[in-house]
Amino acid sequence: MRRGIRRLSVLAAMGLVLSLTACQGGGSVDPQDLYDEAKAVNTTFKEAVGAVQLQVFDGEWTVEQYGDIPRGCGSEGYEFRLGRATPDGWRLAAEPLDAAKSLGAWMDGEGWEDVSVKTFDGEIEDVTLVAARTKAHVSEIVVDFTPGELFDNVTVRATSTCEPGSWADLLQELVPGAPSDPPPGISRPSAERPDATPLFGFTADGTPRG
Amino acid sequence: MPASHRASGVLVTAHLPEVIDAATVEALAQRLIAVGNTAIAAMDEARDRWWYLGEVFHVSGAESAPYMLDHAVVDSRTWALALSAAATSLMQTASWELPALKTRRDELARRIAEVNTRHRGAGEDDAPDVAEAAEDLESDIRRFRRDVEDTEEQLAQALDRVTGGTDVRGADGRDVSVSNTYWGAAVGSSAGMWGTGPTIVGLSDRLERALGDAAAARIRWLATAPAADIRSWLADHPDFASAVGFVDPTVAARLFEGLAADSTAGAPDGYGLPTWASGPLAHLLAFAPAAIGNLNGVRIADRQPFTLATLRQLLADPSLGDEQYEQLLALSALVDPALTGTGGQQAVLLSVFVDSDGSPRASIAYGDVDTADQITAITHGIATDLGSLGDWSDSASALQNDLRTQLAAQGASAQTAIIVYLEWDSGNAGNVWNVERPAAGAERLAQLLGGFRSSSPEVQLNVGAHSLGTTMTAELVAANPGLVDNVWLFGSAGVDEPAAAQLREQIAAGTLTVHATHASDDWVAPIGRWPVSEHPVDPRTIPGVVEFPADGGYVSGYGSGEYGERVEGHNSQRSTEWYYLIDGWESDLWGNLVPIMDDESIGYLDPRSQSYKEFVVDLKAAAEAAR
Repeated sequence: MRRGIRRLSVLAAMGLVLSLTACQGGGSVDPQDLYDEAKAVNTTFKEAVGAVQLQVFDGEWTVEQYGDIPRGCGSEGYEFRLGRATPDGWRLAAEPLDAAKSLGAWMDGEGWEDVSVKTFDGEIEDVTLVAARTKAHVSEIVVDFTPGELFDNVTVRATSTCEPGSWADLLQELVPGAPSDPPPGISRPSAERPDATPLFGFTADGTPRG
Repeated sequence: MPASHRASGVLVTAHLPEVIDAATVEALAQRLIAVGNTAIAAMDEARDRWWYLGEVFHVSGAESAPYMLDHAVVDSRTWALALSAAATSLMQTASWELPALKTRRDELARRIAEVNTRHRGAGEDDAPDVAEAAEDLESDIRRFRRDVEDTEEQLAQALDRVTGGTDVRGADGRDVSVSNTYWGAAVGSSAGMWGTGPTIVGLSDRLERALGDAAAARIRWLATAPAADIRSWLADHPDFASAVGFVDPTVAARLFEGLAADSTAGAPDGYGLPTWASGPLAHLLAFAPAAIGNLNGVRIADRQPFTLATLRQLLADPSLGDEQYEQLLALSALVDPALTGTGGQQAVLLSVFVDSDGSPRASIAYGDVDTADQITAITHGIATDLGSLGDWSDSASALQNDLRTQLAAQGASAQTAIIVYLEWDSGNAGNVWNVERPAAGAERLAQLLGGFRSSSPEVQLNVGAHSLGTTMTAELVAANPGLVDNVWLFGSAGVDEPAAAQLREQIAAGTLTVHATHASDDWVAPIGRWPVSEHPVDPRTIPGVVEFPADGGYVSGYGSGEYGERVEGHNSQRSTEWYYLIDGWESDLWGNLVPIMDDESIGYLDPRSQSYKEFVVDLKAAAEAAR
């Protein structure tokens, strides 16, 4: 997807792209510092995405991906991916294109970057909105409006920015004892309001970490 | 008579040759016999075990494999016979000739002393007699020396087929190296611009059909054997966890039922997974969980505790390398409810093992495979392994969610499941023109899908494949008519001629539908179909194949119709690889060509792409037909 076309010489382009795709490695980091930094990133990321969700539906969204399990990215970095969907039976209050345009205008005003609403000659009812907000650690958000016969559906899928640090170390900080001896009975919600305080890690007895 | 002898007072000074101690030779003979017997016994045992392997594995194209040690057995017997012949010669020499020579030597030594004594005390009258006795004695000594040398020569000739040294040679006399004795197969790439190195293919990847009754016996043995014996056996058979996937699904189902009947179920664990309190399944869960976890044909709900236990067992292995550990840990973070917790859309682990080259392999599912009306496996091309699990899992999760939601929104009751098949070794650029790895991957996928078919005979089975995965899928369909109902091919690296003919026949017979797409910006896929390739056929050219778009546009039936983005390279998911970011060229003020760069490249299975959305629409229609 072209977003802000840049024209560069071949060698400069390759060098820049290669340097941009590699997150800077973190070296040895204190586990508590790693957790604190990651929690701050995750909270900011989820607050930003949650604010977008609230513009669409102020209620409990179905959780596809909770968004707290770190993944590897770059040379030695971590990122989060989040997925939410409106519940079965829910209906859009406006036409999909109008809802998407309204959301896009709001996001533009809130400082979201590269907001684009994809339509096609006006004959398509489904609309996809794409944007980013790197200051809030959102490298990409995709909002898909899909009307249906019995109910409508909006999905929100977002990826955080790639942050320096070991995803494996962070995972073991979030789930102590992982992977061989994790705490018993941890759980994450299968549905959650966008403004709920997100879970981020567990203690050794399986209760959410404060 | 030499004057010097008389002057010294010693008439006979000839040196008697030494005779080898018969006891030493006899002991050597006994050792040779023992070595020969041991060699025969060991080779016979190895051959018996190899024959047993033939009862366990049925390998298409390698039917003679169970007999490949027969020649080695003959060689070992020939070798042992040579040792035995040498030992016989040694024993004969030690029993008869050496004692006789020893007696003669003792007699000659006595006569030397006697003649010399007579010489020292002899007067003029006795001198001629003593001199004559000395001459006779020296003649006997010379004859004795010749006899000793002849005996040694005869013994050496009898032993000429046995020599020492550390070189190992085969029956043909040529040196045998370690690479020749590796039990897998070393195969050189026959084609490929970069494909000149050898490819090691583990035994399990060469299996086409089931383990059968012998494998069932092995699993039964594991179900009751002492823990130490199990650990030892599994350590000696690292391919076992991988090979379990080749057990015939119907045999597997009966085996599990039998084991379950002899076991006592425990209470479900904290995540609702079944447990086993006692009996063979409890034993297997504790000590050999892969024996059930990777057993295609057993319901996924029953396998899941075993697959998860296998994954935890692998992660606890201190010999894992960093890359292996991180790949398995990432898998664990996706599928182990002890880490992911309950809630959310949970991925389910279908199988996991470490391949013969040390690469972790696995398959996961979204949706309930056991109750689904439609199961669709998606799979990858070259240079993809468990390190790409996250991207492929995202595609599968999105597919499953979009399918479920859109089917429900239109009132359809069909249930779906999406599989990510990451069990096959697709190799890298050096293998892209060969069909060997796709064929091996197809054999394993046939087992996985065959297991679903065995558990749910009416289920609709589909495959969505990318790049070299399309080659693999064509091999799968060609070799297993009727197994797969629908196929979607994204950016195909080509299919081979026999598979193309099979696809055409099955399409014409109405037992298969095939859809194929190729993005205009995908300049990589055609390389896989170059004339030098073993799979040069573009599937879009096969009669009956339905081509679907990927260059961006309206997708009818996605929800109520939606725009799908243009696929911008050969990538399967979103990519930031620089060679996919170049979005055309233009001239600068000085006439130099400069690239137009994108921030990212949309891939074939990226949820934003037209090809993905077309895939969803087609899967919806197929799911409704399956219901």
